Amino acid sequence: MNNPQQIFEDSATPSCRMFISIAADPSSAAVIGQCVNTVVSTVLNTEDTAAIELCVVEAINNVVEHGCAGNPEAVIDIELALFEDRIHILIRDDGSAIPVSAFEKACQFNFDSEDLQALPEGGMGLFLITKCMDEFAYSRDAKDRNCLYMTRLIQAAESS
Amino acid sequence: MNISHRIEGNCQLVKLEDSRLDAQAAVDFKAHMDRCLEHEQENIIIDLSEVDFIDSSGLGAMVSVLKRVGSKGSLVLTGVNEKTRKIFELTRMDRVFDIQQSPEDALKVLAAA
Repeated sequence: MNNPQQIFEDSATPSCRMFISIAADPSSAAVIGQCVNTVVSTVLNTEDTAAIELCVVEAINNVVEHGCAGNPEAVIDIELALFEDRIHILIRDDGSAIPVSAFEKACQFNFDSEDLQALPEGGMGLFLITKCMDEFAYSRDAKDRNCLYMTRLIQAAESS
Repeated sequence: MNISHRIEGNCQLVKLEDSRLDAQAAVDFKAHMDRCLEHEQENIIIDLSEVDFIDSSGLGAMVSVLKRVGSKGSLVLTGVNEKTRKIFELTRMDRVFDIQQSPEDALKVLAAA
């Protein structure tokens, strides 16, 4: 995987940049999801807005449920940078490292729709990120924090 | 999460009254559905017409309910809007769930089954 921090910093100047920092609390995903929706819906269409909200929520859920579980002082930093043709999202947190196998497993998400009792009840969060985003990368940053970078190519804005 | 619940014939009609079925709401939803599954009516219709956002936890909770209903009855979803339908399509769960337009349509399908 490429270095998420480097990709984010090497980007051209965005037309809009948003930074949010929040405690890794179970309510954080909904708060940030709705906040991101409110902001990006002013410039992006419904489909792009929904995809971005979903991926931010899934990433934060992952941090709260797995990475930062049992750490009430953990903080999640969310940064969005909007460009003419894409949106970059960088999520950093104090949680434990995500094993590379989790991403590999997410990409291989599959099931037999005829086998009712074997249907998956989990493992869909990272998969949805891989489906909704055009690019994603993960690493630990210089401060030993998780650093998840996502990019979605966006369609023409509905309004300016 | 606010959930309304009524019995119609051999069906339980469950309506989610809030706009989000996410990781937090999924806990309440599953607890409510646990109580529903204790009723003798084994056909369940879940009306999602007020729901505007479903994440993987909400979807997982619905899969859990579907598995618990099993072959004893049927689970039908209604009121799935374009935005929430996308989650079902991306995960291919649209092939697993019976999705009807309205509770009335669902009742007709269940009556004909």
